[in-house]
Amino acid sequence: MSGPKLGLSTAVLFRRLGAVVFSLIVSFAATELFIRYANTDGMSAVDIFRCVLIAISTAWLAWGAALSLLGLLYVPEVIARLPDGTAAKGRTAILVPVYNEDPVSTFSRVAAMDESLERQGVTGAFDFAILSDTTSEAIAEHEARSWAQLVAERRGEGRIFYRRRTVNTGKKAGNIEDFMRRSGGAYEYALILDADSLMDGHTIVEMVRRIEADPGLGLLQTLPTIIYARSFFGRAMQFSATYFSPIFARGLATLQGYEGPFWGHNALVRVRAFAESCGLPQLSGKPPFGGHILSHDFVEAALLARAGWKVRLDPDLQASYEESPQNLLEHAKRDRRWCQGNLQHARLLLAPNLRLWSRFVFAQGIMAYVASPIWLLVRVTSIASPFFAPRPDYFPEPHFPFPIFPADETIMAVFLVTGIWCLLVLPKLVIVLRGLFTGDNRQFGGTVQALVSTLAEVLLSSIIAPLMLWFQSRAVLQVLLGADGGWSATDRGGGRLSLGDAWAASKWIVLSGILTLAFAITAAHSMIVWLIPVAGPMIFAPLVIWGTSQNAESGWQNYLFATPPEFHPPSVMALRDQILSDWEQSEDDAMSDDDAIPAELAARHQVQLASTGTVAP
Amino acid sequence: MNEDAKTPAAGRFTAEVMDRSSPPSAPLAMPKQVLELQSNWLFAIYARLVRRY
Repeated sequence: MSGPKLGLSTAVLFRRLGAVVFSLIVSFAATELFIRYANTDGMSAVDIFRCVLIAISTAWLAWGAALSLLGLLYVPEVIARLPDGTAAKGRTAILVPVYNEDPVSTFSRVAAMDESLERQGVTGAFDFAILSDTTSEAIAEHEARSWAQLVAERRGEGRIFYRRRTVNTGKKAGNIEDFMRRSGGAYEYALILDADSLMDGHTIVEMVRRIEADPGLGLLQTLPTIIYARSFFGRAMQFSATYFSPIFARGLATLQGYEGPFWGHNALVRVRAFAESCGLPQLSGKPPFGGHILSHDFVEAALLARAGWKVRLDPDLQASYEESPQNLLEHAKRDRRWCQGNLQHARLLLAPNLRLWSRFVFAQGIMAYVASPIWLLVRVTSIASPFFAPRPDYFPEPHFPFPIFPADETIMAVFLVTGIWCLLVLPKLVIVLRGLFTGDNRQFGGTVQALVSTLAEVLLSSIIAPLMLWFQSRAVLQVLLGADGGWSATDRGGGRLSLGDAWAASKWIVLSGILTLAFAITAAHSMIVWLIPVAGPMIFAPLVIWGTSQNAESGWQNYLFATPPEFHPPSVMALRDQILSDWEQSEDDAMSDDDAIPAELAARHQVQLASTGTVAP
Repeated sequence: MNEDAKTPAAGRFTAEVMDRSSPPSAPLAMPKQVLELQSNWLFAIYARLVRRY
């Protein structure tokens, strides 16, 4: 515990209290509306249960809205940094963990970042270490060839390293830990990336300036922007992450103070702090709740804070990029992994000496997934509630001769639904309005284009939400029943699905949608109107999944969801595009060589297998 | 690097690459942290219910 004492500023404390109070007030108001609506035919036990579910769900939604409100009111704080022109003294290792990804794609990013650092004139202070956990021998050979090409082209001998673990103990966290244990003593800082990360040299240098100027700073996290999205789904996610997420991130930054997040990549750590504090134990028992800690990043942030190190998210750091899944099924697959990791944190909620905020962050992460089955229960109990309603009493007054009919409180339900919709949508519309005044909308093609993209994103989110509700509910149930999701590589590449694939993955959702609507039509007429927005997307799930996975880079689709890097590609993206193009050309040339064809084909085939989750022996 | 290293036989290449390209050897202690309670009654109940752990 050699880190400095971590204080908590009064401002951060007040903001946290304010966000909690706001969420509780909204939750109370929503529950009150619901009670008035449900009480028209008397409160049954099911209605009381629904009240509890509504209270929890709306508090959760209000918490998200509070983050965006705080983000809109964000005032940047003065951040310590080395003066311009002062070289950082500490050496930095840039760690690139890889796991069955396409080597050409990954290594070309390393080459681009190295070139970008060279343009900053600081390559001597940075080493790259590509840390392979790849299980496929064919892909591993391809990685080694790509590494050789990378070293040759970037003159990187002695500073661009590649090592492969044959036993993947601890998965990604174990991969990083292995590096720290063997080589950590040679570096002051480590920039932890993902295989799909891309960062500009200027941003990397700026991060080192900031961490070196603040000896108590243990970890500095950037907000990665999604790039290279091609499908309709991917581009909607990309727009959302680029346009809305910075505001939410600013809100988060103001709430967490120095007890910030670690998202596992695009973050700089102080190696000594990380090594002292973040040795992760195996949890007792078997997966999914026991064994290696899956969502290690949240835990590492909590451990750094426990040891007194600052963990900070600096939302002003630009040019930090990542890629994301191109279709809903890949997104759900990644989500299944995150779900298991977050639910595993239930084991750590009471871990000794953690800071209260760290425990709260674990609870938030759990709630992010448990919220789905809660909403599902709200719907199921809503359909079932008429069957549990007490018999109406039209003569509640014993000596009053005329019947008294219960008041129609449907308007309360309308208010409730409108309120929930506002919590979800209003922050996004306010962000458009803010962009109009700050001029930020110009980077997104102007206010009209940003507004159209926002409305389209809201519409798409509304259609996708019922599907994700089912996928997440299934994931939570699987984890609770003890099913381990394993460790599959995320495919951020092609992503275009066939209708058959979409049907195979979602037919159970279609069936659920048909049954829901059929039940409402035959037994609960009053619920039909409320259920159509949910059951509709469920019934058409295969079309939604298939349609949104299609390429959306041409014509009007290119206009929709446009982001700044698409208008003006940043220099590191342009560098990467050029290098990737050259390397793919040389790969094609190699494939035209008769001797090379079998090996190349095999390697590419293995990449495809791995990216679809089928890891070859 | 020699040309052999670029197109090696499977199995041999990885070892060579690891030998010649590894990051500097500079060991650093990374002690395992204590995260679990001695007795987690909540998880014990769950484990009993699921009959898995």
